[in-house]
Amino acid sequence: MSSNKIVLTSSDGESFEVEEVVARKLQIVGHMLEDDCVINEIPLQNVTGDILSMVIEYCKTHVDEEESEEAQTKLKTWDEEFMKKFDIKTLLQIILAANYLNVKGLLDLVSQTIADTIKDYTPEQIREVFGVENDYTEEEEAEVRKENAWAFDEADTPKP
Amino acid sequence: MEKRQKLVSEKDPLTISRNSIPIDLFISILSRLPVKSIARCRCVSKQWASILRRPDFTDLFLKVSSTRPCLLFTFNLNGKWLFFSAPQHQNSCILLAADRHMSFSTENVLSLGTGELSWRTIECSISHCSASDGICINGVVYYLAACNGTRLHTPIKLVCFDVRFEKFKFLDVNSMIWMSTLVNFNGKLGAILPDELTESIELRVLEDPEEGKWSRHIYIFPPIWKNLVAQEYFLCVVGMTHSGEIVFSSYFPSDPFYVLRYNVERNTIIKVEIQRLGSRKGSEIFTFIDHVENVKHI
Repeated sequence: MSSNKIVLTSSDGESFEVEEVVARKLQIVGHMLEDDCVINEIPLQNVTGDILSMVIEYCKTHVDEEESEEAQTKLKTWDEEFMKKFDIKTLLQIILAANYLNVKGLLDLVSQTIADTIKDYTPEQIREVFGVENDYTEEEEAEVRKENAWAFDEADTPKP
Repeated sequence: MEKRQKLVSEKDPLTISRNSIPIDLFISILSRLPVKSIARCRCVSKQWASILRRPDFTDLFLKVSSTRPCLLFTFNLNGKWLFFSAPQHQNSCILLAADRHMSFSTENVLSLGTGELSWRTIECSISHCSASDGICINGVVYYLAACNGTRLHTPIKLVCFDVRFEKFKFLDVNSMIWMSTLVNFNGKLGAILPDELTESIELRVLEDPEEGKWSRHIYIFPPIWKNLVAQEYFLCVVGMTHSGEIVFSSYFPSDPFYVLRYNVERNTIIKVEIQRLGSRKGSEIFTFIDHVENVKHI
């Protein structure tokens, strides 16, 4: 494997020097490198430095994905611990970054983590987190809640 | 990928959320939620409700959901059937919180399909009466049945019904198999023999349905088994998961309620506590494996 260094620059001007194999985990970078192999500095417009550093940390850890069951279990544990660091707002920023930078493994991981996080949310909490406008009238909302009443038992309300 | 692109249709207004999450990411996140959360998400907004009812979403949900089958529990409480589910593939997890689902009164359980379906009778040359639950493996339904015999002897046979060709086949089976639990063993029919479950478990596998040839496997439980099952009365075999685990549970709801997962290949046992079922003594509890959630009919 080549040990070329690539510099990735975030939208807020932070620079990260990474091995080419790590940078290639970002498919957007991979494609750029294929188009023109002499680039060594890549500006990434849609992602801030703090989020980019998380993505790079993920890519570094996943750079050589071994097949062995032991290695897979270790990676899985690492993934779980890694995701525990973030609150829902940060997770949403990471998913946008993973989507833009096209890091498939991270995209799957964050999608699942977000799903696990919001699984017990109430409709109000979901509206707040995703910034969704409630377009139901009061009567309509009462009706749709009645239809789905079985999904609202008290035991499921998450602790604040 | 193709599916995703289809989901990002131009008809979708961009107001799904104010924090600019593209709709395909939303769909991907929501398709990983349990059914119960989907029901709550329908209450978020009209737009969410309409997206969540669209066939492209419900199809994707089913596809994702079939990759993570659940354990399903049901029991009758004051005339209502209560349903709970919990993830089946939590490798090392020993505590699982069960999600409560809809409950039904006994009289309206049977409302399957769209109303356009109807039942059709398929003739079979041998009159028989089903004597076990059926299991479908690769398009063949297997069940044990009592067949017409002499007055003194009613033989139990294994019925193999090929759904594609609508053909029945009857196999003579050893009487050991008559009371067994039929399972899917790596795509072959397996029969777990009824036993005291003290030290070992015996599995017969139908290797050659044409010849009616079975192989025999005896698994000796590791020593820890005795400690784990010490307080569990009336343990029964629920079935075998795709990952090669035999699942056991009790016939009666207890508090706490446990499920045991025995991996035949690794000879390991995990005792999993199922939370949130509550203490409901007395009534029988039914446990199922490989339950796949579907949002088409809610």
